[in-house]
Amino acid sequence: MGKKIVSFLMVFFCMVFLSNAWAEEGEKDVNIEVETGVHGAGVDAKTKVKVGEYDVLDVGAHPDVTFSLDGKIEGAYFSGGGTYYEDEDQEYHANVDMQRYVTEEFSYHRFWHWLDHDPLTNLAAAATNDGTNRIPPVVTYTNYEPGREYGIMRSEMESKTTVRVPMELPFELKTFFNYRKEVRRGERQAVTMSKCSSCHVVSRGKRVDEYIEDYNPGFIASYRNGIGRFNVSYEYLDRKFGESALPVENYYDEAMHPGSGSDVFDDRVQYQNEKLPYAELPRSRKWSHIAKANGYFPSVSTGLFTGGTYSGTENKEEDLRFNLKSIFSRLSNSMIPGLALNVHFRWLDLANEAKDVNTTEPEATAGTNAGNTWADPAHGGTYTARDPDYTRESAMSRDEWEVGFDGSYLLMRGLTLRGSYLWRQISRDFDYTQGDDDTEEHIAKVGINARFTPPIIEKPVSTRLTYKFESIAHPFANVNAAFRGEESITPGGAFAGTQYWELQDMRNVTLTNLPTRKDEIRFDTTVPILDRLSVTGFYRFIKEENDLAEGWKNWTHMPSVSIWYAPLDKLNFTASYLYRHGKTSSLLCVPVYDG
Amino acid sequence: MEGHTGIISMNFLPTEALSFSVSSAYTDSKAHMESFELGGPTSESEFITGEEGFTRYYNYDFSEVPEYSDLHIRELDLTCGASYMISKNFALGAEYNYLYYGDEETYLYDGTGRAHIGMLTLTYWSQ
Repeated sequence: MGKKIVSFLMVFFCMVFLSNAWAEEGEKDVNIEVETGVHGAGVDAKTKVKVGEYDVLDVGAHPDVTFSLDGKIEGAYFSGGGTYYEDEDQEYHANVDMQRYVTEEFSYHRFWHWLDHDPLTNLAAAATNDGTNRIPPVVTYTNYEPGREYGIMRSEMESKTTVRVPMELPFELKTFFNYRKEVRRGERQAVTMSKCSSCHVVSRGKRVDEYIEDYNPGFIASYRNGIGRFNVSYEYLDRKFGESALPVENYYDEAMHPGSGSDVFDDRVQYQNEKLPYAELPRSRKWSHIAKANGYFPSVSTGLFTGGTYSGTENKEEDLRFNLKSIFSRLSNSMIPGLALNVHFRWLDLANEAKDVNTTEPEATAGTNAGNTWADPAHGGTYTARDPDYTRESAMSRDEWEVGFDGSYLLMRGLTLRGSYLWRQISRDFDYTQGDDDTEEHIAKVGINARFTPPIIEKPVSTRLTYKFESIAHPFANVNAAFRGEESITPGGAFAGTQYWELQDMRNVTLTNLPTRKDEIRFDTTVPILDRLSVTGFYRFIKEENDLAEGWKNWTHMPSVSIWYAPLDKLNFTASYLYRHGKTSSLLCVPVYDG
Repeated sequence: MEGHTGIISMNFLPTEALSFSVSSAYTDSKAHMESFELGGPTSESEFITGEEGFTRYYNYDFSEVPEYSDLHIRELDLTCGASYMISKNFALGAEYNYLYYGDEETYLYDGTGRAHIGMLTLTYWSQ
């Protein structure tokens, strides 16, 4: 720490010396501010994740320094600054403008984020009670690193370089090259199933060493004539994601009958007698082309914007891809005095590749089913055989169409009426909706802004009132997610009883936590009661309902009040109170552990 | 879910060279699941084979769900500071920040904790 203190004091005095030297040379255009100091933290907590989630909170005294400078040297404008607070809490930025031909913006920051460590003890809640004895939980757990604190350092570096092409062209041409790198390093909790089934959960720490790197070149061309102003732009993005840390590994025990110790369970588990990696993130790459064009015609106060995106993302480990195509267009007009209108259209096509999932199907090495898989009851079982392999169809894949308009009209001085309407249809490639049909949304909003002077207080009061209504047919849902009704299972032991996949096939209730109707009211007003006293009131009410999802309902009230009071020129107070109340009614689904 | 948040702040400049500030945010949040019952038999004595369509009993007792799902969190973030201008180019500053997180109804683990952060600064700026 002594070296740091000396270093920061040297920075401080160097900045002071430089500032004075420039001032003596007449360089009045350079301004410098530097702040150095010491900070200390004391912590009284078992974990820092709640009391200081984004603070390093190193106990003891630590030096810190903050500086900023801006000015102009030989026609080039510059500004910059930074803060060193802790090794894992720093921020720097710099801007240079060389006579508008070349501009450079640079920024870098890093901060620490403490992460949760779930002790897994909640899994003991699966214990039951038969009235006299506590039955041990079916699910158990092992936390291999109890008490360990997890956290990551997140850093981001960005550089934006713009060059104005110095050529005689009929239009202005600017090229840009942006670069961004995000890094996350540290350790987080990694949880997985262990032993021979999902009944045993284990937790270990996993090293994190991830990066996202973006290269983003492009150009903007601008043209102006007597008719209007026009811009055309294009940019390309190349993004890479990678994880350098090794995945954490778990050893899967040999599966054996809990009573006899024989190998008759070999056909009931996917992994045994081997160490396997988990919590591994796949490398991925994304590219995108974005083109935009807009024009503004002042004689008719009309603007037109059109943009399109074409992008692809590839999972480099599994050879999986998804592609996105979208078009957006907006027409704005304010030709009629007091009336502003916007109309827009949007189309989106997202295609996420399906994945064939081939599961491990081991054969029994002993017992009645020796030589066969569990799903193939060659031992004479009465249940229906099933191939556990399946095709994962994406819930993301969809087409979207959207049309909307919004406008505002000045009814009279201080009174503005606002309104909007939006229609959206989402057609999913696979059935992930309530009611097996396309999602269709109608969203309407009406509001009024008023600014008036009541005779009693003789000061301008501003008020806004908005009502928003949404009607959503067939929202996004998990089809056949739960079972409701009379059971028709067959007891009778392992070989004759109902199998878990047969229980899954019985599911008949589609679940969703999205509404089919939403109402929202917002109101706020600011009243300057006195020259030195002002009161702001705010209220928001949201009601969401979905009668088809077994009466799913969500209500929220949020009133608040703020007061500003300045009894003296050099003394002022602000005080606010916010109340939130929310209630959700939902269908309860009980998991079946012993399926 | 229910939450109360109060925020206050004060700025005071007794002289041109000296300033004081205090700001504080306090939040009290509560949430819980209401009690519920399922339609089936919850104990062996209630279980009668074949009646009302139930062919086995589920010994799920949800009577303690409201207590188990209880969440009650109190948070306080208090900051007070003072600044004194030594000259037209130099200033001294001091700040104290108190953070409190109170897990009144522990759920996954007890996150209760307090942190104290103190800062002393010397600032220079060119004119």
